[in-house]
Amino acid sequence: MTETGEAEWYAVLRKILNAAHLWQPGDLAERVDEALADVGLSATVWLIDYEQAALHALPRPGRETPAPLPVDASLAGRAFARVATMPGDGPRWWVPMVDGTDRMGVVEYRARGPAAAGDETFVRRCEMVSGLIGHLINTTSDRGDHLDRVRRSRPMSTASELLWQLLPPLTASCERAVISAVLQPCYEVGGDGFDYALDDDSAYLVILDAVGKGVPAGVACAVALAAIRASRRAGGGLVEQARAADAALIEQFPEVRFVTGVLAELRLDTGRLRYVNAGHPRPLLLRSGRLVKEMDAARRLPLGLDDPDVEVAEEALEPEDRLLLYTDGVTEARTPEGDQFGRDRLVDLVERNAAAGLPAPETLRRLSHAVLDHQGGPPDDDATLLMVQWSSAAARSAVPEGAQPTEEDESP
Amino acid sequence: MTDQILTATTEKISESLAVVTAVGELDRGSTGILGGAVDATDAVRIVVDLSGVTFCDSAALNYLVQLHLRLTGQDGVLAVAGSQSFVLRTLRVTNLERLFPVHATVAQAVEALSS
Repeated sequence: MTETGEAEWYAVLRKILNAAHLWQPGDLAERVDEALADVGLSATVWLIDYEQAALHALPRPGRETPAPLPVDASLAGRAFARVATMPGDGPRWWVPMVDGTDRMGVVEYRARGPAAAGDETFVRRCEMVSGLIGHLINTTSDRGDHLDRVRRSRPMSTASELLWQLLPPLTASCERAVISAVLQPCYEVGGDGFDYALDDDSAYLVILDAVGKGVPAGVACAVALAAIRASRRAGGGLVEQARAADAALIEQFPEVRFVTGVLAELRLDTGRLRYVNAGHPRPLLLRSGRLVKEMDAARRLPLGLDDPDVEVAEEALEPEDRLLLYTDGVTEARTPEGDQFGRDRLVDLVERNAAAGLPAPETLRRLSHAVLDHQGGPPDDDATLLMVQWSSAAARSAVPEGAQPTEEDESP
Repeated sequence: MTDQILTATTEKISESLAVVTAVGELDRGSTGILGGAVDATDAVRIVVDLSGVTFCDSAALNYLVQLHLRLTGQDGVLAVAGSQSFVLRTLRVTNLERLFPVHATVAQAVEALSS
């Protein structure tokens, strides 16, 4: 395969792209595999499930679907977690599949015939094809239910279905920052939500926690999120965005239904952070792996309760700083004995994951699983985490190796 | 959270002032019990004593906000007593203590509402 040239790989891309115009979601696995035959490879596409616990192979007609692979105990999972290609035996290659920096899963490439070793160029090309598949999964998914069904290990509640439709991808990055979020319990979300926007020199961040549970809480969160988004897209600042949420909630819920939240804007050129806290747990500022500040200012009433005394607070971030927003379902997660997860445990875990050099989305995945494990049962409340790291290096570590020089681990 | 039942009792202090005492866990399932005790009085100045409440979720907070708005609409007032509890921390985080007064004890709340 190493002698396979640019032209053959170009043909692979062309075949996949051409097929994508009319394929149905269920065709994707077959078409990708066919296209790769020209370069002597076969491919299996694996998608991450909503709970980010296991990778699931896209089913193929007439073939047995391989069993799901746990992220925490497989080479495929390692490729997903580290956003880095892992060579396996066979020979085969587990290649991360992202859409931008949003982790969709992995692509497993196998040699069809007696194969040459996968050199650097070969691996880069596999990553390029994975990148295309990642984009196409995103654009294809909404044509049918097939791809989304693969990602579900069980049915989703109405409120969850509503919220997931509303949320942006879990991870988004630009050259100067990476934003990542995680939300549990993913199949039964009540009223938590988040939003962000990376435009020009600003990263806007929103985390929300609507009062109550189920569909009414989901609707309240949806109303607040949509009002904030509409205001922001019309050029509104943080105070206006919060007021827009107040007005929309008051109009929609005359009997009062409030939503706590933090609205923030981080300047990507200067590191200046501005924020408003509407009755929400205080954002955490982490520097060099340590908590340097719980940001206690700019407190107003929860969204949905008109508060004339809104103010905006400011904070100066330094390069590489992390800002962590969370809902109380994280810190108040309790063991059956009543032991709370707490802020200190949260900070400690961020510190340890930071020290391990993990990409931001992997840090958040591990945090949310730690919260679930702590409870040892179905959660009482939604637990959402939203983190931004003002760091070019962090942004790049969320991109597959092809786009960066790295000292990634050797394959086990 | 709902295995412990909430009890709520109403005590009338004067013509327009009542103390409603809740004991137990106040959540989505049990907030109605507190509501029933509040509705049992026609007083418009109400002290809700939460010193015996060990847990309070957002549905309960939403009820307190609704009660506050209803009472102020009737020229009345809501005060919450019981600052030693888990509840105060929740009221602080959500900033709702800016909406209605929170007193350490029932006696202080009654005194504040009587003056």
